Amino acid sequence: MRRWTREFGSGKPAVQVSVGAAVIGVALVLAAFGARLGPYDPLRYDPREVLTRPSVAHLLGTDPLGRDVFSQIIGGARISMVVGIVSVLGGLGAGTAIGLVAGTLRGRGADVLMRAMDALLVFPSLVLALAITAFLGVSLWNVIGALAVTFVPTFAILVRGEVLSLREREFITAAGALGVGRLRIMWRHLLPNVSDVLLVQASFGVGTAILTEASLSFLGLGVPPPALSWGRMLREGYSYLLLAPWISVASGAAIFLVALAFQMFSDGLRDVLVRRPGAAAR
Amino acid sequence: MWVFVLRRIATMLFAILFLTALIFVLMQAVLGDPVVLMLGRDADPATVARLRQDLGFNRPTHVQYLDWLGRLLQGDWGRSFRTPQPVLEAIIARLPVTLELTFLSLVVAVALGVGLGVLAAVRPYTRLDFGISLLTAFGTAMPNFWIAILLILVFALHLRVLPSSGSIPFVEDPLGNLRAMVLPAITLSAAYFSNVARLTRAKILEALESEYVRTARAKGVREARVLLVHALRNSLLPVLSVLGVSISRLFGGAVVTETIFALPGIGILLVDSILSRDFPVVQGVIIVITVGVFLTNFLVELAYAAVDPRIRIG
Repeated sequence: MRRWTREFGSGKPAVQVSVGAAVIGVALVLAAFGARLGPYDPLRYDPREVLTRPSVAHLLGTDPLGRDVFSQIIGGARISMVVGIVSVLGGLGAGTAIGLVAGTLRGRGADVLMRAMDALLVFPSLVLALAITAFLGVSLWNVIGALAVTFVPTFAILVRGEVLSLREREFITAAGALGVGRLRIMWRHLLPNVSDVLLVQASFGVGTAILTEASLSFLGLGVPPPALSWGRMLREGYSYLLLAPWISVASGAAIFLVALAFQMFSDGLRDVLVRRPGAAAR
Repeated sequence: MWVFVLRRIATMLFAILFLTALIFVLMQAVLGDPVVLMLGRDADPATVARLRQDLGFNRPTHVQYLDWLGRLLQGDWGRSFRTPQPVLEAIIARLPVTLELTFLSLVVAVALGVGLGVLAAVRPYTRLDFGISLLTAFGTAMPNFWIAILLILVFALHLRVLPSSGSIPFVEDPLGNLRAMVLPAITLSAAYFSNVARLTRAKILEALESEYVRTARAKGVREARVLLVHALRNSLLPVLSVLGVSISRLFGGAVVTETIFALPGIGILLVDSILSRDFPVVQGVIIVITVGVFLTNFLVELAYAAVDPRIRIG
């Protein structure tokens, strides 16, 4: 689907990559240092400052408990980034392993495995994540695990497709003829050749994971308090939409900006790394 | 064609069996041993063994799965933990709202998507085109719960032209029902009409460069006809295939959309039952979504194959 975004030319690849990377960099810094960077303690109640409008003292206003929204947004970056990155890494690891194995050892078992991956891919990922957290219960690691599962089929199908086209190439058949073992072929010859595609897909996946985590939190099934989460802020602010729209609007904007940054970064990266000469001139 | 249809049916059945088996295993893991649940932990081992024998819980897992599947097919979906209502009844009562929401979103996605796509393709690289491409870029990247909140802020709270939540049955007040569906349908379709618009624009621009359009123009066919009959028709094939993928995502988005707009559909039922750990209902809703997703996917593939012969032969 990203290909069409590219065709609409939302900018030169290098610009997309750098703008995306800049926003991601800011989010990473916020995630690393957390609430210490904010002007207030994001969890400090202040009964005198309940639902105040955005002002110089409180850039994005305060919530019903008098907590500073801007500080909460800064503190919330950590959960989004951790959940996004770790879940994609999990899905990437498992999916790549499945894809490499299914692509290298062809047979009935591999076929059934890939059919199962196809089925999981078609299934709506939010419902899948909901179902898994429903059965496992809500915690940081369960949310990460549930999201990781939703990424496994994408990576498995992607890697297997690449492997199937690579395995007919001369350098792979040559390695096989020289007596190089299957595991070594996978690790030394196949994996480095799919790493570009994986990087593009992974950076796109982090954006998706951040959106899905926010949806889960919005539904009350995300990372539980006291951890700060943009999705939960949005949900809590929703009850005060008429009185204090800034809570929901600001937390939604944070989710949107970071997800968009990952999307732009991935789109640009795809143009730089994956597009082969000639393919771009369709 | 028949070989194609049969192969697709087999794929669909495999997918449904695989996912229901997954649900079954997860349910077993969560609920634990039903016999211990019934008799308590301190029960006499002999009694436990006898009841297990009587109820068939000592059979191998795959036999129990098939038995469970058989009961589902006969309409026995169990009872909710919270209310005495049978699960199937609860789901059927909620289904119309979800179906209406997804159907309307699909209509909006196609109408708005193709419309905007054609408009952008007719005037490429102008301000109009830029505006549309900006709108669709936002449409794909904005989380739908945020779109919903912005729409509610503007149209329900400030302009007060549309309701922000709730739903009225269509038979009681058709107009009121549709009014309540406007914001949810726009919310749910935002990502899809954006994708459809982008794809339509790209494909039409591609078609306008093609030989057959040049031939049509050389014949003296009017420009509107060239656009709508020659170029658009060929551009809609890829759009159809995107919709197939989108429908399954719509079911996921519907869960969030229903929750925000308080529409009593199966999405809200799913979230409520997860929060109250009402597992029979959770299981039921997930099965319905599974069957719905793979059935619509199958129908779209069938439609696609009917329109494009390359699919069923290739």
